[in-house]
Amino acid sequence: MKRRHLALLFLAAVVPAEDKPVNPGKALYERAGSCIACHQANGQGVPGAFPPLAGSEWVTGDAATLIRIADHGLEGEITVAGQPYRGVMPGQGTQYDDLELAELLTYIRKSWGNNAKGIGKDTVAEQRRLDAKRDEKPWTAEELRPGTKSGTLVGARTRLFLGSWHDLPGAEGLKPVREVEGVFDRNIVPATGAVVHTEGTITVAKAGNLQILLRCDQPARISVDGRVVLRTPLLVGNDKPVAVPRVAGLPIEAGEHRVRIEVLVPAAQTADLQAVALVPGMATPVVLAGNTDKPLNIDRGEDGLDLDPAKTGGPLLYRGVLPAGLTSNRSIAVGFPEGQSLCFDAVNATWSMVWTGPFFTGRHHWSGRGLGYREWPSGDAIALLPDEPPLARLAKPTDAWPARRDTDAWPDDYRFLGYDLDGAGRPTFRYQVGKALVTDRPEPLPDGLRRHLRIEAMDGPLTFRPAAGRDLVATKTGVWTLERHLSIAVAPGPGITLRDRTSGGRTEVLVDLAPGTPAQTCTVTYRWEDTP
Amino acid sequence: MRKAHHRLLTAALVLLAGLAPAADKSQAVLEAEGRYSVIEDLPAPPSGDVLEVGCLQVLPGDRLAVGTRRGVILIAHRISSPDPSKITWTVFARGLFEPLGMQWREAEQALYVIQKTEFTRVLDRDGDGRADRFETVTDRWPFSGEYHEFAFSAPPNADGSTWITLCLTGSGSSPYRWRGWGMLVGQDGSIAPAASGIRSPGGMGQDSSGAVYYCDNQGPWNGTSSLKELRRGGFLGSPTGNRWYQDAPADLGKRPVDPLPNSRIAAERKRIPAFIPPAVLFPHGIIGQSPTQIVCDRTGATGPFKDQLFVAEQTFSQIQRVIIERVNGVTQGTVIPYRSGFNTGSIGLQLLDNGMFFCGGSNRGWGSRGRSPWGLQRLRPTGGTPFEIASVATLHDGFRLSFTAPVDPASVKDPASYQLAAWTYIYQTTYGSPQVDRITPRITGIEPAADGRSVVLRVADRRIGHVHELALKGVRAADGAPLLHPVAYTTINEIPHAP
Repeated sequence: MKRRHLALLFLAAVVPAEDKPVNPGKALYERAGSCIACHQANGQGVPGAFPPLAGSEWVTGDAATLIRIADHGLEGEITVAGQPYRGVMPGQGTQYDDLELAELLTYIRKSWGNNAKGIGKDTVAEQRRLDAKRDEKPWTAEELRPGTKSGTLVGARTRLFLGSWHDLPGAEGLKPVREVEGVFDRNIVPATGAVVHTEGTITVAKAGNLQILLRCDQPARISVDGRVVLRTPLLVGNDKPVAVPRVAGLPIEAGEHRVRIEVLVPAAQTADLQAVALVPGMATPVVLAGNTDKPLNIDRGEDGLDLDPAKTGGPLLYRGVLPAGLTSNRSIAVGFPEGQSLCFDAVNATWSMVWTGPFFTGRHHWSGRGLGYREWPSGDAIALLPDEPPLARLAKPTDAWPARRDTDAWPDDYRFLGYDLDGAGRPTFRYQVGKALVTDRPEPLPDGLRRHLRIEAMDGPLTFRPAAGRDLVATKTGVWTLERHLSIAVAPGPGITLRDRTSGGRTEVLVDLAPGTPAQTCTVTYRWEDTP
Repeated sequence: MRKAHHRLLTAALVLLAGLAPAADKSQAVLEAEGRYSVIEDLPAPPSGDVLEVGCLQVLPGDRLAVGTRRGVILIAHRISSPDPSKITWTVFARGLFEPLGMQWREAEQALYVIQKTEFTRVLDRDGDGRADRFETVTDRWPFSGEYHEFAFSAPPNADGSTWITLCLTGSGSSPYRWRGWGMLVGQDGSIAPAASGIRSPGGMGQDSSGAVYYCDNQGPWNGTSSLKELRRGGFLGSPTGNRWYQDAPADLGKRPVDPLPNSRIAAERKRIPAFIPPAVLFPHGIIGQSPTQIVCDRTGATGPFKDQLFVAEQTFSQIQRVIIERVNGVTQGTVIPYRSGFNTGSIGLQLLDNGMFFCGGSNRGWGSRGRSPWGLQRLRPTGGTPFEIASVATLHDGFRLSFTAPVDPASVKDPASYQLAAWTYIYQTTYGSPQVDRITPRITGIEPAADGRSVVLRVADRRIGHVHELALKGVRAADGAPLLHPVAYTTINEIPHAP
């Protein structure tokens, strides 16, 4: 006890004048990476760039609105003190606990001439409880206008169909076993699985751009006036269900429009289905599926940023940040006008994904600060391939395949050298494994892709692993099928044989390559089968 | 066409007149600047590409490489055509990752490009105008995908090596090696850490002596934004990345001691021998808020400003001019506004030998006075040299200032023509700093030079580590004109010894 008193005395003596306790809200405001960066020490912001907090009706007005902005951020057009601004303020909520946020917001409501009532930590806690489902998506000024809540799908009726399907069936010939009012609710689905349809009407007051947001870990699609506008991709190679977020924007005329949401819930599984429509002229999102109190929160990003190789007339390359754990942070997506795409992982020098259908979108990456987004390929069917390096020196035939690397490490001996583009703009990737020089050339096919691998200057034996997977089944000599949907045909150069093994719960196809000949080659042909 | 432009300008003036006094002032400056140069729009690329400019590089053959934040490199042709509508576009490359620096190496006929994830040598081997080989020079620095993990490159050094700077993760942390470091990439593709202390770079450049600079943005450990010189083994001021000294080459020295809280750079320089103080402090909110690419006038293209640096400024959508001096082996200098009024947040900057600038950028993720979300414009001199401060040199007992035209002797001799002030910033973990330790230097003597275009001010009460505001509002040219930009901001890191 005595010792503590002494320590306190000692601290009091050495703390310089500038360290004397300040308003805790002020300290938080001025903390690194905090409000002050944009809004400035004097709360004046930067004219034309960052809005002021001093004299801002958003700061001194409704406490709930201010808490929401601080927690989740704000994007798009906003008028502050009579001046228009457009930008993105990222959500700050994760930085502060309830008390800290209350102190911080109280500080800005009472500084620089502002004189609004302070905010208590219970008010913050209550608002956070109400907004608990809202992830990271910033608010728009429109959403925060007083008196708005989520809209509903007018006349929504949900029908349940029983049966056994691999994929979503067409509506023809289906007989509902049950029909309820309202949108999809997972509790109506029996354990034996079902297809669920919800139909209803949205009213568009004025022609404009309709945006639909969908997230579902089971096959689902959304149609407007009978036309499918959005669907979840068929995923192959995933170990567990993944909800891939999807966003579509489409021009729409004024008037009433029928919307249908369909989802397949396999037996003994559930569906995590959420969907909303952002209707032109309507301030609030219309809930198409999921919780009507807390609408789905997916970043819309900006429409019109989709990358379409068919439009540019040649292959397109895209570098950005793709979903973590599926490919490295240094990945290069390649889209061919033929509608076939792949992701080359430049850390592990391998094909981490192949897909068919639309290529990719920059809608999140090129909006604001990228919205913290890891974008999925846009494809209709996406195969997640093993993302470990493709070539290895296995001391013993039973040695485990080397692990993938990412962020701050590279596989031993691997060096990415870059790529060449041929006259048609098709890439050939180049990399080095030890002294061996590898070229890796994708070729688009009408129903898939062929990978041409060529290895020169080998200074020792190497093993190539063209395919691996938990549900990889040999169908004929040299051909395997991944989960029924992707056939993988492996054709090594003359005199080379294939072997397969089970390792780490996966079937692995291996090609042992010996040095000596000027170059070793192998082709791998991926063909999509039985896709929606 | 012209008339329409004027009507628009008038409309803009009327609109602006309703804003705060600061806007009035900047509008008056803009008008005055407009008497010597014009900002011109360029035709849009027919490819439809959005010119969110991240970097610019002049190429031989009257061409300009334009790198966009969306990963496209376009080439503008006939860039010095008197009529900017004659400029044409081709697409050179697509699919890069936010390039923020380019180099043209004539001997190799290669365009070097820094991407977020790698430094790349780009070639057009068949000469058809489109890149067909992308060689990864090096990709050996960590990248987690976080938005702020930008990488910038400077022009090549004489030995073919290149300085690159790696922004801190989230602009405030260094969870992986070399975030917050300057790296040297060898001609052979080797990469080695070379200087710690970087926070959030905005652009890089090189002066005519080959010294390499980068701009670091206001934030933790940066009380205000500044221009900093990179030297191998130096510590640039942000200790956030210093943990990685443990993995750095031994000759970079041991990890510097951590700065004391609430300190001053001048004080910490005495404790940390490797500390390279910011060469030129850019007073926050006065001169700008986010300096970006740096170019040097090596040929005298800008007339009286040969060998000076020009620095783009994102938030204020303008160009600054920087005069470098070296005192006791330490770099310092002066910043003066040069040209305002660009239409977006200025990020990329290039200077042609004919005195034209290309300036472009975007305000995605960081606001700007220029209201366009993105753009690329040309600044064309329209004749005449404005009356400006041509140079500032720090003397042992004052400053020598020279001007771009003969001065009115009476105004130069009048002490009332000058107002001096000086202040510094707290060196601290907190974001930015207020102006502190304000002093008022006193003029003790005014000595106009015999050449009629320079003056020596004898000044008492200057301070090391302070930025000195030299306001010359009363100084007139012989023809009576006031200075186009009458205020200079001189950082003093060292004071020359008496002769």
